[in-house]
Amino acid sequence: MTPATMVRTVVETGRAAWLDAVDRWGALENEERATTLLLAFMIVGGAILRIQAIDFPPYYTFDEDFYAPTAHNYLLGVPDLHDYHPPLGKLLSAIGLLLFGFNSLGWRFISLCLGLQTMIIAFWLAREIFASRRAGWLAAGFVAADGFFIAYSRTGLVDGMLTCLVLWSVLAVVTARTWRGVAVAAVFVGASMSIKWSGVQTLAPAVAALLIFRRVPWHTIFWFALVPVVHLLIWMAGLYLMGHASGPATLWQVLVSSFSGHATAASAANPLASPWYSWPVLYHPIVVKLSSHGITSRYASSLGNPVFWFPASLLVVGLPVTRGLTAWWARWRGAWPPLFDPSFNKAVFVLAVGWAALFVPLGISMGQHAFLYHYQPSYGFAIVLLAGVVAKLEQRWPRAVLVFVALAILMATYLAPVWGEFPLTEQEANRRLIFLPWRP
Amino acid sequence: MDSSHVPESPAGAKGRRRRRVLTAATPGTAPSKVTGEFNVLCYTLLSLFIVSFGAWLIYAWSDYSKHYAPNAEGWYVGGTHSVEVTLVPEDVRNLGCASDVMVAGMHCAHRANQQPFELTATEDRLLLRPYNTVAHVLFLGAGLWSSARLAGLQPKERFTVVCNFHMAASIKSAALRWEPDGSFDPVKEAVPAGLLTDCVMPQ
Repeated sequence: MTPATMVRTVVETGRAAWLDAVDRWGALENEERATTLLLAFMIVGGAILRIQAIDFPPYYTFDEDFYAPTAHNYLLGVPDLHDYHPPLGKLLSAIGLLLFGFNSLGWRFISLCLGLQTMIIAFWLAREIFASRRAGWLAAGFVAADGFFIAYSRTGLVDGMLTCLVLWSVLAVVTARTWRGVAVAAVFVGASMSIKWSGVQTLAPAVAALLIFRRVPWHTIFWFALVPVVHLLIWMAGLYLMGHASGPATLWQVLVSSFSGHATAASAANPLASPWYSWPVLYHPIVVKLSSHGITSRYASSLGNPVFWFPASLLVVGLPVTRGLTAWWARWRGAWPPLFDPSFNKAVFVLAVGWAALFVPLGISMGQHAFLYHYQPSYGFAIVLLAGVVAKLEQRWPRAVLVFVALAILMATYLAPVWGEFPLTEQEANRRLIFLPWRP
Repeated sequence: MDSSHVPESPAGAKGRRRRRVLTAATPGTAPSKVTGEFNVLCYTLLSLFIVSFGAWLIYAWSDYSKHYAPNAEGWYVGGTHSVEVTLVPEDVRNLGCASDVMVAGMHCAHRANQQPFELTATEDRLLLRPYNTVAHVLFLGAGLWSSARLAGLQPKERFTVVCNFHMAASIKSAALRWEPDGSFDPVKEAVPAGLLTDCVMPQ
């Protein structure tokens, strides 16, 4: 391929893409066009909110002092086992340190990259699982305009990374057409598990997707045996880089000690903790970054966008239950709306399994030491499900969907200062964090 | 909404645009060669990018430990850090290091083979000595004793001094001693080295 052919190819492909976009735009009704513009505003605004002043404050906030020094020590080869989580999150953070140095931008950069990527993966997953590009755009917009994702994109923590990889895992299964796709999905699940052990619960929606969609033979499920292999290899690489012994015996000791660390932590009370069953109702979001300057402070609260949060919680529980009841009881059978076809129901089931599997077992096992951020991967599934439902409803009620999206933007605009660390007085912040458990 | 939902024959300019694309996407026509070539181009560029980025990361990693010292969180080459050190007057003779490394003209009093450094500086500001901060960060510093404000002071007993430490390098191979006739013990990790200035004794 000559340089001239390359340029011609790029130009022609760009032209075809532009014509395609113009065509799609032309096919939309007025309300759908307005919704599209609002979604574009959400996505651009969400990206800006994530990126602006990310290096502020220039010191550790919340649990950053768990992860950033450990990432630094990986690069220096200094033994450091004070954080008992698996190494991948910190190894990824180390890339930011190599790019920008050991400073606040360096240790938050990869969280930002994966936080931005979560928007793309949500788009991709919703588009694939609901076979609807519109659902994809809605999912990307919803993730973009939700503070739960924004706050973790701006902080050097690993929970946002976990959400991104969990969604990647399920996307890989949904798009798999051969055993290779399933093997890739297994690597993603192993990687998720290597950020936090709770990532292993991604196996539930991954297996559910494989068995329900049947886009690959059922026996490819055995490729998920790769998950522990990937996990152990990442652990061993981490130990090796830190200058520890990395053989099986040492690894076993480290795993036991990490497990004990988790078990000990689970019995420790913490004022920021909240019971797992309170997460779907947004009872106690955490302010993950807080810095004070005179009479103003800057907040990055993990408060989700209530316009998405409550409908998502309701739908992710309500839809599968209702579907189950309508299938079970003959007299309710006709009540299920035909708008929700069988392929849609399968997608809802997979996402609901992902939602439940990623937080219920974890929430129960963590006891008093459970926090809202443990819910983030689950919320990722719930918001993709919400996008799928809204895309369906838009086919019949485009004006109602326009109003819903506009409301979400209004709410996001109002809450943006406490998501994106704008200088606020305590009064201004409290007007947004209206309930006491929402405040720092 | 997907393009498959687009009506076939709408009127007006929109319709003309639509027809143009629909013609290209009509089932049965040969797949676009342009897209195939574009995919090859994308994969090639992506592979090049990943390989270059990976190579750069490995290079940056190998260089990282020259800029940062382990166990001295936040200290980096070119940075200035406030350090607080507690000493006794005899430390001017007690503290010494051995290394072949010379940093911005500063060096230890001895070479790695523990022979006196040929360029043995009489100037304190060129002679590196080991210190431990009150926060237990080990570093090699030059110029503490000659620092202007400290020069006029001659403490007779244990004293604490606060200085600005300008980190010039992270030295990987150094041996330290804490008594004039003591043996040099190698340190296992890299140690930050640099110039101490503006030393004061807090009252």
